[in-house]
Amino acid sequence: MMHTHDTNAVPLPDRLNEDWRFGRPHVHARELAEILEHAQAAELRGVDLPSGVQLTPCAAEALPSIGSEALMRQALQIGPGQCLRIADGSQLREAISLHSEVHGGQVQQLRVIVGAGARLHLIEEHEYSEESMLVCLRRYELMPGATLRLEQRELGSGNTRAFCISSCICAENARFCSLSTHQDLAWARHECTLELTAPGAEALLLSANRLRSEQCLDMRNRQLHSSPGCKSRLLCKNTLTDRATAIFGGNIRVQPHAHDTDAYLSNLNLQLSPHATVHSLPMLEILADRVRCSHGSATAPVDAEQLFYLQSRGIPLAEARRTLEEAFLADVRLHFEQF
Amino acid sequence: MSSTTPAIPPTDARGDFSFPEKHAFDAGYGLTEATIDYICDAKGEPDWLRDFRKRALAKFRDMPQPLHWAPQEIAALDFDQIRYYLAQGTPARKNWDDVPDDVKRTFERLGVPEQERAFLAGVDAQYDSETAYKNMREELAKKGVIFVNPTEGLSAYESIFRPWFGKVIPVGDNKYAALNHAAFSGGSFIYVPKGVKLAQPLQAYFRINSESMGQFERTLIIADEGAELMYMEGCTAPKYDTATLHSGVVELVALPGAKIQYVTVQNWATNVYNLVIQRGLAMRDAEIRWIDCNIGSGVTMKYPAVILQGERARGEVVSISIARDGQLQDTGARMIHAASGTTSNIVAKSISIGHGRASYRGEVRVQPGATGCRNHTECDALLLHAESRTDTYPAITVHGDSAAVQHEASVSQVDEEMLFYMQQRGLTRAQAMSLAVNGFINDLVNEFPMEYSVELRRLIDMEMEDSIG
Repeated sequence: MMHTHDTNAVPLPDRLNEDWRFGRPHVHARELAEILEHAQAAELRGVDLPSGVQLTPCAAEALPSIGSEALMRQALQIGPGQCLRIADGSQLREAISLHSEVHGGQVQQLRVIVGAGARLHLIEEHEYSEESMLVCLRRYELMPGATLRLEQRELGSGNTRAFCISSCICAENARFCSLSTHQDLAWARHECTLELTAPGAEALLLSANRLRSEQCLDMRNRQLHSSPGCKSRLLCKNTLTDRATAIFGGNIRVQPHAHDTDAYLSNLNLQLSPHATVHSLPMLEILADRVRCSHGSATAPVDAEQLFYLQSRGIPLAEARRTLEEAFLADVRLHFEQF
Repeated sequence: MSSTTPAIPPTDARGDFSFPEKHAFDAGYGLTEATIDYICDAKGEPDWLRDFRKRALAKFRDMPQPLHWAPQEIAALDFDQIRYYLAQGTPARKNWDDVPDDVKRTFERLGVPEQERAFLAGVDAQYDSETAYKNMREELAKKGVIFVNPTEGLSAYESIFRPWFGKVIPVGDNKYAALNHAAFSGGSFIYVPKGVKLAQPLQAYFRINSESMGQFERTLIIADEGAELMYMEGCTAPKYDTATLHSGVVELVALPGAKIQYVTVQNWATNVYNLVIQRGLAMRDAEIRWIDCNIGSGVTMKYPAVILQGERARGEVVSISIARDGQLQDTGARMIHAASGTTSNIVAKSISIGHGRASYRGEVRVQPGATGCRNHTECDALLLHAESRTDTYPAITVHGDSAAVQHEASVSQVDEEMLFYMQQRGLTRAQAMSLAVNGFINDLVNEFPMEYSVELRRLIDMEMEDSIG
């Protein structure tokens, strides 16, 4: 759907906006705005829905209301999105896979509602063609006692870009686990806001990314504890080769009176090239006492002793490095599978 | 703690007094070119410095407040309601007996620990903008150590101080740097010659005595090759109805192999904006340590920095901040690794009491081409009441594959079981709380000189009595 839009009227991300520091936002932001002007709605393909699951059109206002607002407002004008609804109590044994191919500039809007006590394993996969770009708005709502295991796979090729804004709201005793991976995207910005709104809600946010050539991955996460007695964990791991750049912004915010919060975030980066760059901004905002909150960030090269050990066992240097890189990322999937 | 615990009222009785103002020089409110002329004339400064100040003033006016990242509280600052220069108009005394009685009384009320110690190497106490008392032992002078105020430093020792003046923190660094360059008065300029190691610390005490007075002291310390020194400063101001601004600039230059330790204990009244820029430049094998304690002021923004310019240079920041009701302690550290083999360490602990808010804001950066750098950062926060707030805003940038940078932060509160155990052993709840809080910062307090650490513990005891007892 074409529409006219005055890009000057919307403040674009720049370096003076703390949420957009690092990763050459001025270059990407303008292009993003231009692409949004001519974007098409992306189609979901290959959805074979079991009973208890419905896919219906979804009004734009039901989509995320937080994140990089300026760009989001623009994206929301593209047209209605889709809503995937899981009936209360549905226990889906098989994963539902939503696959879409991205060509040119596209916008995708998806709302997922997991009913009370329902359980869902959802796989979202975007396959990008050359020079394509996707703007994706997603909102996940977990009703009391619901469980959602979510895999988000971005499969780029060459000069492809992604800009994803997700929000997840968990009700009482809801459990949410997500694993996002970005592969071969020239530039990707992923904003995720998790809100735990009632006691007993629990979330685990995972991300594992292998970055190479000139790729840039800009991840911004927010763990918002607005109710007492909730638990959240975040683990983001990146490996970097060539001239890759990884940006990680994480924020645990504990709202007033959200006592007995248990939150942790961790950003770990393995540097494999002298020209790679890491920016890490792990933040805490704690407005209540009686909480357990901490974060950690570490950036380091491959351990020389581990490399030496593998080489002494006859493994060539390049392969040893690759093995250690894989091992570094492997435990993220393990956490997902154990959830 | 229980959410029903009442918030404590602000207490800053230590600074809650003042003496009548008797200023020979008063530049009035607001900062204009005429104010600068007034300051230059009063101080008898050379023309280059007058031009320098005026260029800085132009920059100050052009630059916006850094509100895109800084606490929004600084937006309330009205620069036209501040007096930029006040002076007693009497020359610095050589002898404590010559200091006027009212000034002495002020220091006595402050409980400046320096006076009690006869072994002190030098005392340079700044009362409003000028030095009121200065005593330097002869041995120091014999060693070639220069310890003067900025005006004297830039006139009598221009060849030493001018090359580094405004080099570590340039005029255009930020709005407050420009403000200080334009309006600075008072402070310390210190030069320690090659290989001279000072066994005893140098000290200064800053105090704002007049309402609406801005304090713009300027400190430049140069430690020549292989030299070592420790510098201590304390800051206090009485409480007035209108907000007061303290915007100091501290530049440290540690030439190859030199070591500088800079200790600050800040206990301004709660309506002081304490916006200080502290930065050190560490050359090859040099070491700079900032030991920082923030107890007072309404809004503090202070991020001691070390630019590790030479190979194997080392930087460290040890920071304690206590935020009570109505206080925002926005403190932190910056470490810029610009050379190979450089190492740095940051340890920051904060305590939030009542509605107080303590934030850690830091930057660690490993520049391209700097190999084998190491940094470790640790931030711990203690929340004492349900309404207390703490934040952590670190920014870490690492270029290349040979640096190891670690950051960890945690938030906790005093364990009820710990308190119960101590109370069961006969301590009151306030004593138990005080012991627990002192335990939280114990390893950092030990980094302070003994007299400061004793005072700090005493202060925490008082705080606990007020808030719990």
